[in-house]
Amino acid sequence: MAEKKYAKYIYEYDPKMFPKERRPVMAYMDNNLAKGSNFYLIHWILPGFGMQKEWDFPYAGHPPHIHKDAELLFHIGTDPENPMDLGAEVVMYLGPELEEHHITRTCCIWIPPNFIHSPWKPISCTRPWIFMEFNQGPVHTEKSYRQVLPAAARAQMDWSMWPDDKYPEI
Amino acid sequence: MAYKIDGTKCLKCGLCVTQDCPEQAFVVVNKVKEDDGLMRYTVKIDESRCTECDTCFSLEWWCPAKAIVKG
Repeated sequence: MAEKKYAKYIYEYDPKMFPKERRPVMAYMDNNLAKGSNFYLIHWILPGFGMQKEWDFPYAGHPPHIHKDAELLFHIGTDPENPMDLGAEVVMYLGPELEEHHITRTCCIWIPPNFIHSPWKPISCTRPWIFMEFNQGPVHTEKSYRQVLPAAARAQMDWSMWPDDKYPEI
Repeated sequence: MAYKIDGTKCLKCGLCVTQDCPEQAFVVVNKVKEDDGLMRYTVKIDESRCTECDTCFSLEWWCPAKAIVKG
């Protein structure tokens, strides 16, 4: 039987795209998969994620960085009886001053283009929740701003995991 | 009124050099690779090129450190 005409518009995440991915990804889209699509990544955050031994120091987590395009970081709780409760606590630092925020409610964090954000790190989790990362551009970009971290935190991070990605060399 | 880079705020990221300055007035004067691989750039605004169009100063996140100042 011939394939349906519009079946090409239905995408399912292929784990082979990112063999080193540690998070349970449910959906991924960008301009490379579908011409005209922005970047979207949706995955579960399970109890224990972010609390691994190698992130057990002050300012650990996904290190400070920027993106070329605006980013929306949706933190979505999964309790249908109390959907605004995240069921977790996430530490998020905003700006070059590393202003500290604790996220415990379902919310979206708006990140303007070139705005320094993170470290981002879950510090507790009583219920799996859903993280959605949308970039208002065709692909994901990231430039490190590790220079805003205290020296001790910077020295403890494994920087091989966090290259500048899709930013031009100067 | 000339524009300058405030050295106390500048993070030496070099992003300003890659932004779309209409006159390409941002110039790298020194670059250093740090122990963990991060490149740090000392940048100046070339006054002979800058037309004071205000682009770099007025766009909110043109400089992530907001290190570009007037005068």
